[in-house]
Amino acid sequence: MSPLEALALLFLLGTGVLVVTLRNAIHAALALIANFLVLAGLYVALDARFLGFIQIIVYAGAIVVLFLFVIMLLFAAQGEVGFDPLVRSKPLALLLALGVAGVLLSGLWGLRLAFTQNLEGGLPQALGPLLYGDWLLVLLAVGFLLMAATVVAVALVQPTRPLDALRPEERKEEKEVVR
Amino acid sequence: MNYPLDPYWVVALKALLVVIGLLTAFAFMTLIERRLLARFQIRLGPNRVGPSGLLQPVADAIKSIFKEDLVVEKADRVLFVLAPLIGVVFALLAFGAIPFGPPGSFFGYQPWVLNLDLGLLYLFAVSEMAIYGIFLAGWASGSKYSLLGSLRSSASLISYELGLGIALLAPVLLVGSLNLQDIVNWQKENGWLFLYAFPAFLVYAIAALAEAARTPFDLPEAEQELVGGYHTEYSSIKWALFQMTEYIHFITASALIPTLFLGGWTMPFLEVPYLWMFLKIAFFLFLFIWIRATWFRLRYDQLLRFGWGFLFPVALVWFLITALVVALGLPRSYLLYLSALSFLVLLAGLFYSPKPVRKGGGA
Amino acid sequence: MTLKALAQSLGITLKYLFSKPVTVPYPDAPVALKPRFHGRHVLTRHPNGLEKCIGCSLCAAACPAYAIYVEPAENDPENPVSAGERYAKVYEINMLRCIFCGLCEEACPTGAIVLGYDFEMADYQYSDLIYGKEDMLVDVMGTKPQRREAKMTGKAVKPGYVVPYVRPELEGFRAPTEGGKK
Repeated sequence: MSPLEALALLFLLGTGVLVVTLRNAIHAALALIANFLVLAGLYVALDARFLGFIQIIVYAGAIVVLFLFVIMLLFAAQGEVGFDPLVRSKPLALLLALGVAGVLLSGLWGLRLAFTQNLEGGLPQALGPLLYGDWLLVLLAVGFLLMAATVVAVALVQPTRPLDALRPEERKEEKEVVR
Repeated sequence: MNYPLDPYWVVALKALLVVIGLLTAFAFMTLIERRLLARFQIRLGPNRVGPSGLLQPVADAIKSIFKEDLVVEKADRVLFVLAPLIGVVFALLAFGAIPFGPPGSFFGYQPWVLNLDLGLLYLFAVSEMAIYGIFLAGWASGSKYSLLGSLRSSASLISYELGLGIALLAPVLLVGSLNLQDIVNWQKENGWLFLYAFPAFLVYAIAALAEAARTPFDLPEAEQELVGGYHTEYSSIKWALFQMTEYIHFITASALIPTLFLGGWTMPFLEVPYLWMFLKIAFFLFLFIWIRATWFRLRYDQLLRFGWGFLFPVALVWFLITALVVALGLPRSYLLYLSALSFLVLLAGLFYSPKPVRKGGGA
Repeated sequence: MTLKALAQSLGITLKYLFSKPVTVPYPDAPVALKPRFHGRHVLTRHPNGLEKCIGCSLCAAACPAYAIYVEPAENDPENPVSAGERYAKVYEINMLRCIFCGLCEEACPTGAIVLGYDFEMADYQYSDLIYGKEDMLVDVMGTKPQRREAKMTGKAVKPGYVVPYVRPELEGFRAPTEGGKK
């Protein structure tokens, strides 16, 4: 590991910690962008240029913009909150996080690189046939997973009854929420 | 395609040249735009400083540097300072990837700063990151007008960036490379890309207008509605930095459209290395100013509807057609015919104009 | 709104790009005023050189802004100043109060006070904005600050306006007219 790589890793960990510790949601989102940018730099350094740029475009660009959009709209960036609603669930969350980390690490333990093709710097010309050839099923599975998550999220915010079954005063309220 | 790399000092020199060139161009674009807008509105425009107003940018620079630099009490101080810097840096970064002439034509070196094999993705990434300048400025100001401006900018970003990206896929599929030099060379050999992808060209040009936040898509800073939009609370040099960002985006957009669709520095006849590129840039700069002098600003929901309901589907359909032609190995002349057809459809739209239907029979 | 309308609008602006700007570069070029413009007052004279003003103070009575002060005096029969029995010994208009409505001109029985064309009266001191007879008689060219500048630079007073013709009520007043004639 070269000193530059070590520095990049340090940045990666530091910004990651900042994302979860900063009180201000906007600052946390900024730390997230910094994290993504360092990650993209690491990808490029590892000769996965396509992945690096996609990381910037999709994650640092589009997704964090959406995050910020929601944060600003909800005025969630107020910093101090009156009380912490998650006091009891904190140990549980810690346990879960450790569990996920354990699963991921154990997955890494036995990992052998599944292919040894030359990816020519991870250019799309080389990545395309691979993703849409040998790994097509995996790609579809990941896509399906994301879609399932989206559907669930939409289902969660649906009103309990159809809108036209509500009483007039209820409907007004609901409409405002849905809009 | 691989070209010999320049020594580092030449690259650094060229980067410096691009930055200085862009900043000078920005300064004079403010003057040119004001003069042209004035002439479009039958006025004279600024003509007092120096011979026919040529020193106006200098006066403006001195004024904006020495003005009082206010930081609002409710502002997030760090981000308030950081935001204009982010904007300018990412705006400046994009220009380096654009080729200005044939390889080796810059005193024996290459006429570009960066030659990335993922050049288009680089441009895309940089232009997306530049939005954060506007975005953070609006939030860090602690003012509702600024916040509204930046919310608008992010919403419009989401609505046009999709059409923009997919419009770019058509030329990428045809050329088979994301490298800007390759795209220009392909156009030199096979004819300019707007002949093959006229709808994509149109969508890209419109989306580029939105990207540069120019009329009719200048919602983030709609003066009449939001005071100044995201830079309401900014003054002095920080405000000047925002102007700089805006104009550099403007210049970059006018340089990218010809590079991607109009043959870049090439010309079928009378090829002079840099001349045509500069002429093409100048043409688009003029076109954008002309549009600004003429058209009105779209409403917020109209922009969203336009982005999702028109730009996105048109780009998508053209992308599918191109993909079909490329995948099935059909002759490329099919695309030429279809492009011409779409051009005819546009012309027909110009000449066929139904009377606008008034709803509710108002005044 | 149609595509055609959008294209047409572009055509309209392009046409204006190549037409002559309507801007008057004012301090460099004179402003074209209408003949009935209400500017700085002029105290006119009869053709024989006698002042028309007879010091009746009707203008001061008519003035809605109380800007006019007149102090009459008896004419010396041997050497009359005005054509009537009396003349205005003091005739002052406070230009800070004047609203240039022209009611004094309406009220004047002899047509002595007429609103002229000068409008460049901005000055530094209140006292300099009170115009006396010596500032308003027909032979005087320009306003107080203009004349002060002309005195300092040694050049003639340069009026910032031009009129198509001088209306007859301003008898004897020399104003730059469109044809370049004074």
